[in-house]
Amino acid sequence: MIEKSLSYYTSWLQNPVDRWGALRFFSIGVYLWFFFSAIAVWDIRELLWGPGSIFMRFSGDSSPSTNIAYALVYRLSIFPFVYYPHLIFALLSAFQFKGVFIFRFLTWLSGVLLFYAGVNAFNSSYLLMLLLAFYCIPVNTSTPNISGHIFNRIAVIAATVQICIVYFLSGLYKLSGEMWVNGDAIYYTLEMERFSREWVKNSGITSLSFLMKGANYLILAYQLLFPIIIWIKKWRIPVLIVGTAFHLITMLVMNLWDFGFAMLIGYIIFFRKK
Amino acid sequence: MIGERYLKDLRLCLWCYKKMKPLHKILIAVLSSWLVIHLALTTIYATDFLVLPRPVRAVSQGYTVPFFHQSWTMFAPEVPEYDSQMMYRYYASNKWSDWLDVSEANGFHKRHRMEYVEQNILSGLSRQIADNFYYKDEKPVFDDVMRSFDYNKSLYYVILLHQSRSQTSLGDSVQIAVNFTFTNVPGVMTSERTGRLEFPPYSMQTASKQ
Repeated sequence: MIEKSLSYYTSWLQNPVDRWGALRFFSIGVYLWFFFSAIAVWDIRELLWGPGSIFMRFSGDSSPSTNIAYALVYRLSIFPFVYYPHLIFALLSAFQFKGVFIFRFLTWLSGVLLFYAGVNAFNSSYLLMLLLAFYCIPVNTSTPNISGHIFNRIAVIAATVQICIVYFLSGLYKLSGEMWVNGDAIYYTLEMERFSREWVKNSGITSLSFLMKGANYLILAYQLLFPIIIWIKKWRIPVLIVGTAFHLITMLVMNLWDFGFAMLIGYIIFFRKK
Repeated sequence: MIGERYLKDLRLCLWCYKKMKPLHKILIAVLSSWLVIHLALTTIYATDFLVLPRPVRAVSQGYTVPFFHQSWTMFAPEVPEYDSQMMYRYYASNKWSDWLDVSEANGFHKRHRMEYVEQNILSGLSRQIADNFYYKDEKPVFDDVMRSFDYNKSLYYVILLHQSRSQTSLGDSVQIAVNFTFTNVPGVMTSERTGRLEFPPYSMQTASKQ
């Protein structure tokens, strides 16, 4: 039985991915996200990472990996050698050519450096995209080699499972508080100036208790059930449509553009050929 | 019918498996093992609410930080029940300036990324206020909050932002405050409840000596 399962798994890994188009667009989206994310803070790049950075410096442990990841935190003078190449690397990584994995690795690494040196300018979408960028490093959808197919398949598994983990853990954390369980979280979020718009607050929508509670429980159920229902064929498209609508609202109303785009890019990997 | 098809698939897979090159077998074994270990360790790291043996936590922390660090606690477990704004004023030419909104006074509108940065810094300071600010003999005690990294980070942010964006000098002292606007409880319509917490002034001369 184990041998049969193993043989099934290994043969499956060797075949070209059945969603190569989705994988291609997904990897393009992931690296372009880094490009646009860096462009979005162009006017304040010096304030975030330059020698006169507005962020108080901090230190981590003295392990070699921390020293690499915190290199920009420790030496702000290297900012031009991280930020500008990061833009170029991210742009190049979106293409598919021989040796592109070097640029993808450098995009990921420079992204790590920029994240730690400007941690207060970003949210968890940056962390998710760093993970997805790491998984996409060896992706090559035009490869004729079996090794290439294996790398592609592993990247697909890693990315899909990672997105499921993000949703599920996010839902679990929400369950650990009172507000989400009571159904008041959406009300409080939309009443906050930071995550709302004046027209939303003035529209009276937050006074519609059934709507606020309904949205609260829908989001909670969506996040907790996503890792299961996304694998049910007939449910996949409706689930992705609901998720897309939800993330579009977070982008337009809550001003979380980076987070919304990160999740929408993540959805691409779940599309398959009929 | 499905059973027959499955068996046919399986026989084909077994044939493929036997014909597979050793290099590919090794590659699959290495990558699959890494993937399982990677996802397990990073998930353990991200589920800090689970009680697990210390060595397991240490291994997951050692593997995940810094390159695969993750935190999926956005809007969780609770959403703040208030809005907050960071304000500051400075003492120059023998008088205090007006209280200024940090990002607005330095040329950033409400939807600018810098407001997001300010709110992130402020959320740390708000946590410090909630946990460590108290009254003793009816006098506010700021000591614990002012010793915290979050307070110093906020002060540093205000000073550096002003110095890089404003033409005027901060003078002798700078003082920060946090304006709170508390959200009404759902279904209860009352007038907005607001509050302000002013920290003691910070001497810039002390800063220049340091």
